[in-house]
Amino acid sequence: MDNDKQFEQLMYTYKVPSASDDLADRIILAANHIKQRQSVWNWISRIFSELKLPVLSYSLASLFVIGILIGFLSYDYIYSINIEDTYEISDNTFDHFLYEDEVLL
Amino acid sequence: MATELPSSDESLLLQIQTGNYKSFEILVRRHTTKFYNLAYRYMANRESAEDVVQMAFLKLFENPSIWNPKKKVKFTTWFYRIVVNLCIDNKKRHGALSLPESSELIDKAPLQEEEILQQEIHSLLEKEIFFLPDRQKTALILCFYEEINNIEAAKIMGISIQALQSLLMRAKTTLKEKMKEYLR
Repeated sequence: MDNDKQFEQLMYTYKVPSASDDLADRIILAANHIKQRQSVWNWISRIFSELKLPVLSYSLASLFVIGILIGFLSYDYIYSINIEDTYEISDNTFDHFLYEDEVLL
Repeated sequence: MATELPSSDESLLLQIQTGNYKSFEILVRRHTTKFYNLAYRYMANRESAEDVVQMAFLKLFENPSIWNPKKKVKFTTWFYRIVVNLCIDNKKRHGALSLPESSELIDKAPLQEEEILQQEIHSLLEKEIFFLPDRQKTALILCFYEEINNIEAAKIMGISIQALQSLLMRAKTTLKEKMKEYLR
């Protein structure tokens, strides 16, 4: 037991010399020259953090963007099949069909 | 009015992940000495130890997403592992041939016999710890010198508590054998 205690005391004589006074400063300064790699999610978090928006805004913003996209896509579709034009075309076609035989007669 | 920054290490890390430089500064100032001590005991060289600590922090700053808050691991537990791994890599890269510096604590004034003995013990201990196998050295430094509990030390090393205790026992046995002359 004494041997163990003696051994421990001996081990504790191993002291570490102090680090340079400016070690922390050097590290902080060196970080200034480093470009941080950020994941897309962290980048988005950063933007929202800078704009001081709550986290829920992620979902709302995403929904908004998706809504805009759907809106634009739907608008193109409706414009290309205008109901009035379709009706006119049908009307002409129908009349033509009805009276086609009369011309021959 | 300046916004008060969060104080826990984990909160600081989350801030660093959003690019907050001030949080990084706080974290560095808070922990540099602790990790330098660990690195010094590993490398037995002040310059190498400072390089390792700098590399570890800069690695964290450059790629902060390596910290995953969902794993719920303490920052110190996680960062100890990074520093130890860098020490091992550095040692491999520069070779294990360089003997540890024994001049760090030598006082240039004339010494008493007791002081000479102390310095002799210090140099020998430093050398013997330096040349321990990596895992034994890591276990010894974490548990004995850093006074980390066995559970946390086992987590840092990624081993079971039994394996850790076995490594500790072997490290102590080796050192006792080498230092027996001073244990009489």
